[in-house]
Amino acid sequence: MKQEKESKLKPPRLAEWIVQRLAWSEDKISIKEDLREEYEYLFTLNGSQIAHFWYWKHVFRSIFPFLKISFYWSFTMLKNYLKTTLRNFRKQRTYSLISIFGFSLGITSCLLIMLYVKQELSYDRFHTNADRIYRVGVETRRPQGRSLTAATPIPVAPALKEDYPDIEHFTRIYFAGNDLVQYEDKKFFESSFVFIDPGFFKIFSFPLIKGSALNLMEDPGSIVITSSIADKYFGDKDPIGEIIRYRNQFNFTVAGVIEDVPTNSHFHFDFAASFLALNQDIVGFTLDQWGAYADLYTYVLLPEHLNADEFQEKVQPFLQRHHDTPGVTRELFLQPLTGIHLHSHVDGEIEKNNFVSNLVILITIAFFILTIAIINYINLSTAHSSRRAKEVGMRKVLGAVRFQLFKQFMGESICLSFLAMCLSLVFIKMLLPVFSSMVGKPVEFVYSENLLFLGAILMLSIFVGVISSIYPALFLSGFQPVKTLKGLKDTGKSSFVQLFFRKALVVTQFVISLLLIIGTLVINQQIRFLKNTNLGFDKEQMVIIPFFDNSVNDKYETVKNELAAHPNVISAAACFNAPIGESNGFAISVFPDGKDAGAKFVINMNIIDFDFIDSFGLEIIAGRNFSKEFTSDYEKAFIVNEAALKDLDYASPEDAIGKKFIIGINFMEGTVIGVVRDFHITSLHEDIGPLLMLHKPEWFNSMAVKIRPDDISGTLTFLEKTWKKFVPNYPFSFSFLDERIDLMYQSEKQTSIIIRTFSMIAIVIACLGLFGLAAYTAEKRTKEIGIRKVLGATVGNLIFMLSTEFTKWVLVANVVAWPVAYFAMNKWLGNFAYRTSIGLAPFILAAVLVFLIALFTVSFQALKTALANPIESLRYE
Amino acid sequence: MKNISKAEELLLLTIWRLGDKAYGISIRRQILDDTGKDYTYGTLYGLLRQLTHKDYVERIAGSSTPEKGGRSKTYYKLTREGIQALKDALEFHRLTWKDINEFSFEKT
Repeated sequence: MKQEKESKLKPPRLAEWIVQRLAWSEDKISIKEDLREEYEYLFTLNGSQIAHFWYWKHVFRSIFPFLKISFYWSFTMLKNYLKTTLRNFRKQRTYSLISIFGFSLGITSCLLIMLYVKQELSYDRFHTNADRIYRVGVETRRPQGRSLTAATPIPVAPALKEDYPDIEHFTRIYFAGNDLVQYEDKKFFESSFVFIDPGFFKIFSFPLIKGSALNLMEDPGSIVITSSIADKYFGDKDPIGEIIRYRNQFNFTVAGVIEDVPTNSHFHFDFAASFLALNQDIVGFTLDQWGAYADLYTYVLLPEHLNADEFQEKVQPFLQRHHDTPGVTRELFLQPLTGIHLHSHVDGEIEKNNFVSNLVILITIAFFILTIAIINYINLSTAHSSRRAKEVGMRKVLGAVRFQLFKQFMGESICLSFLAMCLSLVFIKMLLPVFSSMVGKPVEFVYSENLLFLGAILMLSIFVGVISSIYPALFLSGFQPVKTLKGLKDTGKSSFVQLFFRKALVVTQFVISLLLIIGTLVINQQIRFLKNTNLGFDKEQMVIIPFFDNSVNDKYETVKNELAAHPNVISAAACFNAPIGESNGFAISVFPDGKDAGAKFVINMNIIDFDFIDSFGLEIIAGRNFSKEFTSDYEKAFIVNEAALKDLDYASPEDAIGKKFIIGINFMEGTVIGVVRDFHITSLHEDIGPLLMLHKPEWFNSMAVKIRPDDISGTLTFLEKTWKKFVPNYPFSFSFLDERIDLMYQSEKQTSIIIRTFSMIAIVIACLGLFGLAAYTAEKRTKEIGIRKVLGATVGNLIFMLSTEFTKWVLVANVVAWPVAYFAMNKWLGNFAYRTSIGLAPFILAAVLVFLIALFTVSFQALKTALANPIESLRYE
Repeated sequence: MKNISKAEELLLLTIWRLGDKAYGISIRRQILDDTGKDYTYGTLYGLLRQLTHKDYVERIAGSSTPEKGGRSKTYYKLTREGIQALKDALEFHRLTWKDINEFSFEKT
């Protein structure tokens, strides 16, 4: 009975709870009791309803004053917190600097990678209609397999528009390669000269600065240039209406100036001439051929309502209809514009596209580095906790509750990471050029344009601050005031879980370091392998000189002989392109069973002269080389490689000799006169494909000159002088074949450099953390070390003792890291048709490296402790 | 001479009036009875805290009384500074209200 009454006398629980949340600690109980007392009084006087009502009303009216006051007081506390934070920074300068530096290194690396990834993801999205633009490619299927190419035959685009009027606009882009451009007395070699259809500017959004958008490019003599080209040729003059001479042959009138093509476009150009001006001379074959491929790409703009997948199904039979070749199925496929840069890796890409996997690697590294930086902070702040123990004790005695202390330490680390973030913004500005050259393209960062990004950075720094401080804050706020104030250094025995957690953190750091080092080593190993693999031909000291126009072709032998006359020139050979060129040469259809039976597969073609095979050191395994003695060798004789035999169904090299087949350019028929041993014609990412070599001087496109390694510059001057005699209209340009081949592995090299740099950063940060931890361990065992020393332990003994634990950690880390690294690197190597075997070396090397780094870091601290005078250390505490 | 706010003045006076019986409820009641102002505990304790911080008032832990279920009340008492502050306030009033009575306003 009495109990019932008492329970009824209780004020509303929720209201009471609210008051308790709002009230400050020292008056909490008084307020609660006062309220309760008045409530009880009212209850007995007027009954429960009025008492309840009064209580609630009172609570609501109290909320504002409560908040006002608690805000006022927490602000006062905040001042105190900031003061102690600053004081601690000043008192432990090295420790604070290490913390901030580690943090900002981590954040900087992370942000740089984020900027880069963001840029890669933004490719081609600046076009207004980006989501409706598609590139048309050709899929070729034959019994041997299928191949995808980004290029299309020239007639495809207009015919496509005719067959499917749904297409809003189409454009072809023909990349004309290096050629001479002239305005008055200014002559330059320009590598990004394209021919485009009028639809180009209706599909793509390249902002026009000068000129009229109306009927742009519809006049065959018109050309559009970029603003930097306008500056280069015309300076301050208005370029509109001026006449540019191309290839010493064609005149174009400038009809418009556009802004420079941004970095994040998957193709770049400086000059865009009207497609109507394109002719056989420039392309090399008649423009109406359905079987011939050049650097020509087709883009279409689809209307909004059209489903791209359905449309793709509709266009699939298009090529069969126009260009039916039995035995081969050709289909068109559409690639969404925005996916090209990261997802398209078909033959004949315009520029080197990136792989999503590269971005994943980078993001993983960023995540790794951030993890290391966070662990680093956790280690450092727990290691230095004893320095803060007294403060914690004092605050607790003065009435601080654990949550307040928790907030304090978390706030401190957020402050720290915020400082680090500010520092890293400065770092980023400084490092951006270096980073840009590392990734091989300009990475831009404009503060004002990246407001959202800045917000993300802020979030990141707060996130880092919070994550890294949870454990230290819990740990520090858990100290018992009595013990800390008594001066007991080690406050409370660390529980098993705590110890395990801290060890796990260190092991994680080692694992990450190991992974990064092993990754770097394996990638380097693969790059070395790529460099040293025998390509099957001679690439050293080979100078490649491009022709540019047909003026050399008819007198190529004279030119060749004059060049070869120099004592330092070993040989010279004219060809379409060197074995591994910038482009893979022609890819043409093969009709093994006659013209009517249809094409069976696509073969790579190179046009060579009589000296090519000897000059490049190729090996003929059956038949003979081209020879002047056989007039039939002109156009009508083929030399193929071993890989082609399989596709042609020839049983053996000997068997191939004398066989005839037809190729897809003008249906030329030829007899196989020789078979060469396979040599690499593409990068080592791919297997060796079928190759056909033909002798037809009209199609020569470059001269390969093999020179002696002595006095290279002298030889080059001679080459230039001789060349100029025959080709006075063009500047002399050349490249070394081995350098060109190296360029093909640029992307791998960049990946390797990036990983190497960031793994170095990761290791530095990890070392900072390890250093802090070693300091902590050594400090904890100062007394023990003192006693051991008194009892006769040598410095060596002590260092050994202190390092054993770390050795164990490194071992554990190896056990974890090796299988992960092996799996990851095997996957990466899968990108290559020719790859190195991983072997044990990188693993062992990485393990030794990490072990030495750890040992060095730890010994430094151990040595300091071990060398200390035992009397000092025994007096310690 | 430190100036204190009207509310602080009222509170100090009330505490002084209550003598050794000044605690949460009694202070609130007294103010309600004297002036009709219904202070919430939020406001009241906020002011008390402010006054404590200014050293005008000190907290005294009262001994627990059995009938209150072992509760120990916190009593408030003026310090010497508190009394001085009240004296100053009175002096201030005297100076500012000198020669003025309710009829003074009628003249103008």
